[in-house]
Amino acid sequence: MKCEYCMGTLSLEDEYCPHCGQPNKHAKQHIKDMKRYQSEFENTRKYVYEKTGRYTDTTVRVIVIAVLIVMIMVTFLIGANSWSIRSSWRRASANRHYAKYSKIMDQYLAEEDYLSFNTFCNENYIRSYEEPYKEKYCLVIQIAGSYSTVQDALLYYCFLEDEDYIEQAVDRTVDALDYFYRYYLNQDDYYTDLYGESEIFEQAASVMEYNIEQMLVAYGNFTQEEAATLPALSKTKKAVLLEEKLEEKMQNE
Amino acid sequence: MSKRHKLDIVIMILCLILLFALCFAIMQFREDEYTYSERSFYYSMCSDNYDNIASMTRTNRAQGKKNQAAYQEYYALADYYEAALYYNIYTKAGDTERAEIRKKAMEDAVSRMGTLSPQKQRIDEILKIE
Repeated sequence: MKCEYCMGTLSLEDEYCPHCGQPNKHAKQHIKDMKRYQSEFENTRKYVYEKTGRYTDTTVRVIVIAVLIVMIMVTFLIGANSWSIRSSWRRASANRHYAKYSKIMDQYLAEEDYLSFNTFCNENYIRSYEEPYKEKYCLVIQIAGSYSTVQDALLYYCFLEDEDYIEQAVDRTVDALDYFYRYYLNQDDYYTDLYGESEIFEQAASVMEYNIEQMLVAYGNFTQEEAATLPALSKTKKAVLLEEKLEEKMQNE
Repeated sequence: MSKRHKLDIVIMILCLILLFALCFAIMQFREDEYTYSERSFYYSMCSDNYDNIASMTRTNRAQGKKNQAAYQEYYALADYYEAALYYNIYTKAGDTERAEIRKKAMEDAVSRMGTLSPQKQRIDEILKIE
């Protein structure tokens, strides 16, 4: 554009003519307009940034909340299913360590330590109906579990000192003995299709039956004959005999 | 209170709940693998509950845990109790072979009982070992 005073060339941004120094009326308005536009632009940008920023902050927080909720649900689910998760994991571990564990189990069987055998199987999740233990140990794992219950009941029965608990001791012992004799020593049909080496089962069953009899003789005030006939008695007769013997023992003491 | 502050509070509460859920899950897993502490053995011994000591010993051994020296004397006590229980049974039954095996186990256990050796007398009393 041209200066209206000296006709020199000047631009819209020049507030004064660079040739004659006179003020540029058009530039003033232009600069004023530019400042206004700049200010509006800055305000709009600030508004957009703020709005977007708030929106982004909110979105991020909502996403964090959603993730936390999912994590909480997963954690509670895992905790609630810890037994089955751990059980699966331990069973898989038992399968991997078959060679090592079976050596330990054979050692316990050789020492006739059926309680340790039972505890070892329980604590290491060795199940009688799962491979590879099923083939060799199924029956003996089952009977060891029952024998452990009988032992606990017998120890409670034989060393009972409080007469108020006679009935409880007798009931517990009768239930344990009845189950043991009925399912494992009388070859009940229920167990004919189970696996396991019959030789180790028969050896174990024989020793367990012997131990039970002798424990009743040594600590339960039974005679050898009474202990030997106990398996053949009905549940009611077992209860009567056990109660009689316990009361007799307590009176003698 | 602005929307962002409310969301911040919700996030804090959820973090606390997550922490609680993690503790719950960890406790559930640990519960499945319970072993017995020295304190449990001590209290059982004080109440002459040797059968419980034997049971706890079997559990700890089966899990292959708590093998420190502090536990060995309690384990020896459990071994002595079990051996003595069956020694008495087999002696009265006239089963000398099994009784002899248990006798050796008793002697071995006594040698490992250390400071708990006085408990032998109490066990013999309860089991009426002659």
